[in-house]
Amino acid sequence: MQQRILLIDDEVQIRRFMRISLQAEGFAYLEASTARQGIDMIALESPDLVILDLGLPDEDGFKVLQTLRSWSNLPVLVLTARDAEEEKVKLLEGGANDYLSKPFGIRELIARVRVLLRDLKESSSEETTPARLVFNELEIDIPNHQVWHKAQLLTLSRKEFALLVMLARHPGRLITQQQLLTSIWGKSHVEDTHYLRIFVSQLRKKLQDNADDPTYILTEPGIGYRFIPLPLC
Amino acid sequence: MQRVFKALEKYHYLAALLIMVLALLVSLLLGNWFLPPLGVLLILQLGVGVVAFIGQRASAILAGVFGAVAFNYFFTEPRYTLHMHEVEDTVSMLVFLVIALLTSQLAMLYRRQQAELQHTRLRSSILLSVSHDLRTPLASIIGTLSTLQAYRERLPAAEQDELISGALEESHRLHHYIENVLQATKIQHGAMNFTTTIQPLMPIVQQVLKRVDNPRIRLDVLPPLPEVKVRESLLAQALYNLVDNALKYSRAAVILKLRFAAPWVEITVMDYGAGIPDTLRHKVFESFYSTRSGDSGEGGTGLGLTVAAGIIHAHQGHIDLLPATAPDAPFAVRIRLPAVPEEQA
Repeated sequence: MQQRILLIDDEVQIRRFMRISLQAEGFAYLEASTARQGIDMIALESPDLVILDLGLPDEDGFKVLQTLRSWSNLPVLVLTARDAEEEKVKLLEGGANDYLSKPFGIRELIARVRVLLRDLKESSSEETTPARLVFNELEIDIPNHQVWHKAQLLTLSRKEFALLVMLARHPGRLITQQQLLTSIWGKSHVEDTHYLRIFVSQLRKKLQDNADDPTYILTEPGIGYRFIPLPLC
Repeated sequence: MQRVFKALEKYHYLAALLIMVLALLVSLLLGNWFLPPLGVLLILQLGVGVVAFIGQRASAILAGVFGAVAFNYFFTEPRYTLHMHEVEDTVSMLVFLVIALLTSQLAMLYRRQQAELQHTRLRSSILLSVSHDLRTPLASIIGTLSTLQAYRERLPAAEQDELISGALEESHRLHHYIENVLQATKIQHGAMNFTTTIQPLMPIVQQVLKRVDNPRIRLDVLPPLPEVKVRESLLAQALYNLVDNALKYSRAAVILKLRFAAPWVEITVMDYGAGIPDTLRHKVFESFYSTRSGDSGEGGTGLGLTVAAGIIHAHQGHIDLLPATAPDAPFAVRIRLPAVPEEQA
């Protein structure tokens, strides 16, 4: 069963290379060049994932996102030529699952698409989170609250552990600061991003992870974090 | 309203004089009726304040002096002379002068800050717009080339060719855009120094049409056309921008009309697109003004017409939108370049 990807973009050249590369990757490719057309396509064709360019001729891409989110949970990857952090935060809060800033390389796009589709598969198969997450030199034993790094048992606080599990459960996925704060500290702390910075840096220290050249936790400045390594099993 | 202000700026001395005369008439009227000298001074002060607000510093200072002299002449004993007997009148007049100077100084400071603020705003919007407009073609080029690099072995020859020509097209688009940005920057900084040569117009037009390479363009020439004194590359760029614009905004034919209307050589670019609302007509040659709003909408980068206008002005020519005489009239931009008389050519 081929997975179907819809690209909503008004730039001919962008549609051209996206079509060629997504088909080469084995996806079924659908396209729309306006917001109106895009919404119709989603309703008619129900693709598995939407790649949405924000600069559309008939309507702001953000509106498309809002319209879409009013009746659908399908994963959306946003392409944007703007690079203001506020913009990205707004997009992610508005329901985008991830974003790519123009210009981007095709491998990066394909990687993001695969992460979003994998997450989708996991969430649609019934909620079975593996008890153990195993990466190269890192092993997380969730029921026993134990983390092994390079064969050493790490002592993590409850919140550090929760943070690590939340990130490591979805390798490659962008987890926003708001999502982390809400689920670990609760809704009332959604503004307290400094908590998060402190805990992430403590966690990095324990994992011997260098923030400038991370092996585990990648910072998306002002927006959130991604867990880098792919699981071994 | 904008126009009123523009006119005021142009004739600020005249405006200052009119305002002060008006203030003086009111003062005389009220002064004869019930107003004490200090009240008169306040009315004159109000006049100076208004002048300072709308005019330049020089006119505000003159208004202050005018007010002081008028006060002395009409309202202080002995009347209708430039003498003053009363100490308090002298003091009042000096204070009046000081306040007038202060007001004009403050008004000038305020205006300068406003101008700087606007300049800064324009600059940051230009920066934003440039970075955004550069990213779009770059995204195509980088995406296309990385696609080729990643999937070359798997792709049929036709698709490879499609990708390569796409990347090339976008590179040309980017090149054209960057040329425009550079020209626009030069024009804005008044650094358009170039040498011109006297040459016929047709070859330049032909070269532009070849570059645009679009079957929708119709050329309508009424010979003979005199020669013009131009920098070929710049004029070509201005024409390219106009034609490119016309093609972008219309689906039907684009007509390029060349005429000699002494002393001008006229080049008119006409298209039958949607045109532009009357309220926006004066904005089309403004830097980075585009009908596109933000990221969305068709439309250009807001540079093409600005650059074209800058280039034509630098050639001592004129560029304007022809008024739409009928609902179905074409959208027409006319360039007029000074024709070089036969004996000089």
